[in-house]
Amino acid sequence: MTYNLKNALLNIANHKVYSLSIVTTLSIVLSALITVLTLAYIMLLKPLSYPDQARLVKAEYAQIDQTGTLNTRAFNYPALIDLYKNHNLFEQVALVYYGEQRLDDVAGLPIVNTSFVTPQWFDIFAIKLHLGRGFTQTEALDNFNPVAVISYQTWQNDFASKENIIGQTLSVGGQQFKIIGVAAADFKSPALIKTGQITDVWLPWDYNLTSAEAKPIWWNRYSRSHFVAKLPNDISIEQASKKLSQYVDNVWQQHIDTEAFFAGWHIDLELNTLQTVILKETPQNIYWLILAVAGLVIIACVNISNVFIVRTAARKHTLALSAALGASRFALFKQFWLEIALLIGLASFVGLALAAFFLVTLSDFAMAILPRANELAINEVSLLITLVSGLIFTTLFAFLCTRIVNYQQLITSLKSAGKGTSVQVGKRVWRGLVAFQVSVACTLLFINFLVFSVNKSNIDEAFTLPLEQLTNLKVNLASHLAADRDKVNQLLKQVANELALLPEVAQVSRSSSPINDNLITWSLVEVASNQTLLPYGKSVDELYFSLLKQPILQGRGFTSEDVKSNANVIIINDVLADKMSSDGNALGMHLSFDITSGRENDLVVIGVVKAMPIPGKTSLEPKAYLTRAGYNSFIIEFKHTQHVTKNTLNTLLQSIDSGLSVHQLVPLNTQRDKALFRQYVVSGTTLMIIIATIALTSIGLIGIMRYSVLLRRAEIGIHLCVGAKPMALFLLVFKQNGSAIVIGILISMALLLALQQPLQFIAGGIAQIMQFGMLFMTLLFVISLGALACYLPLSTQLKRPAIYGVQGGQD
Amino acid sequence: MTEQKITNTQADVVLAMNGISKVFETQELQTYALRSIDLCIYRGEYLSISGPSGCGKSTLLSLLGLLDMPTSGEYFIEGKNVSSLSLNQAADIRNAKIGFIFQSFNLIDELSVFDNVALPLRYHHSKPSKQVIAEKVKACLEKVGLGHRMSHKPNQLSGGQQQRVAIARALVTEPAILLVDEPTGNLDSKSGDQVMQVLSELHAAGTTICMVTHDPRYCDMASRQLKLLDGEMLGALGIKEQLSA
Repeated sequence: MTYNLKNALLNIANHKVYSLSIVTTLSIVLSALITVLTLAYIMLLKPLSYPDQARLVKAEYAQIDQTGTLNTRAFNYPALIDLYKNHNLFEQVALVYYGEQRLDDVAGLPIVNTSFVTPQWFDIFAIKLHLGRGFTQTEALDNFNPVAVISYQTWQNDFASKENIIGQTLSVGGQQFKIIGVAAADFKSPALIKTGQITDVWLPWDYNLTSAEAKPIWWNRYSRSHFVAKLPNDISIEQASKKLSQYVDNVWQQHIDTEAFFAGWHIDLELNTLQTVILKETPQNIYWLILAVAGLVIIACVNISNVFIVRTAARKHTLALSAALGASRFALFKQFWLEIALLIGLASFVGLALAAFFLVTLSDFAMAILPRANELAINEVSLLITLVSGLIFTTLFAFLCTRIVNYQQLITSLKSAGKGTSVQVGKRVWRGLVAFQVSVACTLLFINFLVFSVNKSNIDEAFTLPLEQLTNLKVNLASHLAADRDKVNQLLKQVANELALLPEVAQVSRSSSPINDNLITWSLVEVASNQTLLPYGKSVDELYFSLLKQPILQGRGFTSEDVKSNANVIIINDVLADKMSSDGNALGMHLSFDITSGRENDLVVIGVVKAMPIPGKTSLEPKAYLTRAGYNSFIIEFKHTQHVTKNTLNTLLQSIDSGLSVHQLVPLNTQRDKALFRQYVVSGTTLMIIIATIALTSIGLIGIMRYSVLLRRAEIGIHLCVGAKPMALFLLVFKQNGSAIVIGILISMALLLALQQPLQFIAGGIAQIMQFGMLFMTLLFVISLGALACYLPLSTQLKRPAIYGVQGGQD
Repeated sequence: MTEQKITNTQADVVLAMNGISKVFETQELQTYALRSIDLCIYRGEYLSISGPSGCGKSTLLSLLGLLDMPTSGEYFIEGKNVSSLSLNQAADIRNAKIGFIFQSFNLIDELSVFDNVALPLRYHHSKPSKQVIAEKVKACLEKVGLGHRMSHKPNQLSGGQQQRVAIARALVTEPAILLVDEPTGNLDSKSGDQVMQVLSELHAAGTTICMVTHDPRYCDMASRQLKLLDGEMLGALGIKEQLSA
């Protein structure tokens, strides 16, 4: 053992290039493998850190229209409360309403994420307290007990970690609450609606921000209210869903049976595990990543096999000596195994360190797009992956090295002074290696080119939007103001006027930003045809379209008179217009949302605007625009190079009313970049995979061809002797390996054909001709790479005298 | 030495070397494999070059066959200076003017006897038709007594037969000269004799041959003998002297 170890160390030290190439290649690939598999474990397998997490579900109130199509997934307030009170099925239930509110007494008037919850929320998620207590029956529904629990981070950042915080008063959005607890530092809020979502302050459900007039309405939709429950042990999700769907549908039907609009509609109560809700579409992305890394691992394994084969061939004499002195085949295997284990051990160590770096970086930077990002770190599973993959690779390569040694001929080769074929790789093996590399490379490259193109086109399109100089201002309204809509409207009108008077400001629109404005669908009816339409709805003023340079294709935009009088006019985009009329001409058509009181409030279509691509969204959606005042969001166009700080605006708002403050002041460019973050990450990742695939395939193919040419040195020498020119020789070598390249391409085509459905889903808006173009480019690239791989080792031989081939360069 | 002087005797001289040296260099060492070689080979001549192992015989043959380039000196084939040619030019001359016969046969195992022999024709500038190739290959194989083995693979033949296939391949483009390197080195004496017999017959039919060997028996079969020792030609004459001799 000591002798073998010494030998192995000596071999590694004496062949630095060989050792370095193996350690470098494997380190990179292992780091990718460990990172992705750790990610996969955390995302797909690791239980959430809540008790009985497998039984936790989120209920979705799915409204299905008369055609059986899903209209929306959102609770109305009375249905939510009814289910909470009368479910009779779940072990535990909890309600949550998510808000963003101002801490009135804290310097800088920070906006925090509030969660209005029923007391069971604390039990279901086992929220540990650093100080004080959580909610109990004293905060149960309809008790109206004004207390608050704050997060550890809020306690640190906004209350300077005061130990005497319990019992102090906290003013949130103009309402006073007594602080009764501080959550533990390590508690992680479940991100139910948005990845990376956190809660800063928990308040009792009774104080949620649903308006009093909305509370009794059975057809409204509230995306901020959610229902979480724990299933009993003896009932499945499907059973519970079926049973509760009947119940909620019955209750809903009783309350809307007078509304003709909902004739034929029904409610399904969909239950999804909390894990599914939190992960959203992440599993599909993880599967793609695993596939991509598997491809890279395969390419790297082929490359490393090639290096080991060459190395084994080069030490034929030593192996022959060992065999002559009595080393069995197993002894040779052990010798190989030990040497390879040392190399792979080192690569694993470096790979693990790199993976730790990648995971920490992901944890820091990808919070907004990666669920459970805060859990990303090297863990026991990462170590197990490293160990198992290291052992598999070591054994695989040692087996390969032993396999290519013709043990029977080893001693013979010693007798014939090193000539003979004791260490040789068959033509079939070489062709297999080439075909394998080509097929994996083609598949990986095409898929990644496709994903990269889709994302790049989204990014490019987003950059065509004229967002320069535009900034979104969201004004926070204290609770006492929010209740008085008329007063709010007057105040916000004043805000708009005073903003427009600032010397830095060119124009102000009382509209929300087109990016991330969380629109909900409007149920509209086209009056003449009675066709139901479900566009996304948005309220804007007369300046919105001109500020965003959104072209009006037909008719006109809103006027200040329309805004002032809340005129019954509507503007739609061309996507909706196409749905309404086959020729896209929807001008003058009447739309109505009034489902309760006839058609007297019909809206007339006065204009059709060109649909605007929204950063981060892949398709153009049907949209309708109304002119309705009262919103607290503004788009400010600053004069060239001018800007106004948050403090200046806060001072301005406070001078208008103390209940107003800046909620958010973000340039639209920044919003665009944030909305494109996923596209940036995906583009970066695919680009890295493309580069790694190209690099590894190039190294692999050139390595294989190099050895192939080396083995055929004599044959090439003969061709040279009889007058073959370099081009003829290149064609000869390329032709010899061409069949392997063609087989590789065919395998890849078959794989891509099998993956056609998911690929078409990924390709989305990319035209078929473009996809063929990409496929053609991929094939051209792989064939060119194959040609280069044939040429490079051949050119090395051609630089030497022709006699080198036939006589080995010896006299 | 000028090209004009050689051209004057173009009808007789196939190959001519003047002051050819070959030096192999490593980082620390310079080794002279050949030193100022002057040599003329005449049309129809059967020249043998002998010498002990490592004296530079094979190196000389490589230079003669444009398989390697000299470090210094001038080299002419049929009056054309070939001292510094591009890879393509050298390939053309090797194909058209020179036939090689090696000690280890150097046949391609995967090709049939026919295809091995046809190989030089496939690289020939005249691009002969399939029929022409077939006729020439057949004629060459008949000449070496292997017309009945055309579809065999080299490993199905004896060593002597393989060497005769190599001779056929060397003859197929009707080169100006055959360069033969230890043709019997890998053969038993009987097969060796047979191969030498074929070469003698070819010479008798007018083929120019330059053979490297260390077997004195076979040296005697040549019309002229030269000896190499430590990279120098013993008793060698300059080209002028050789021409006037």
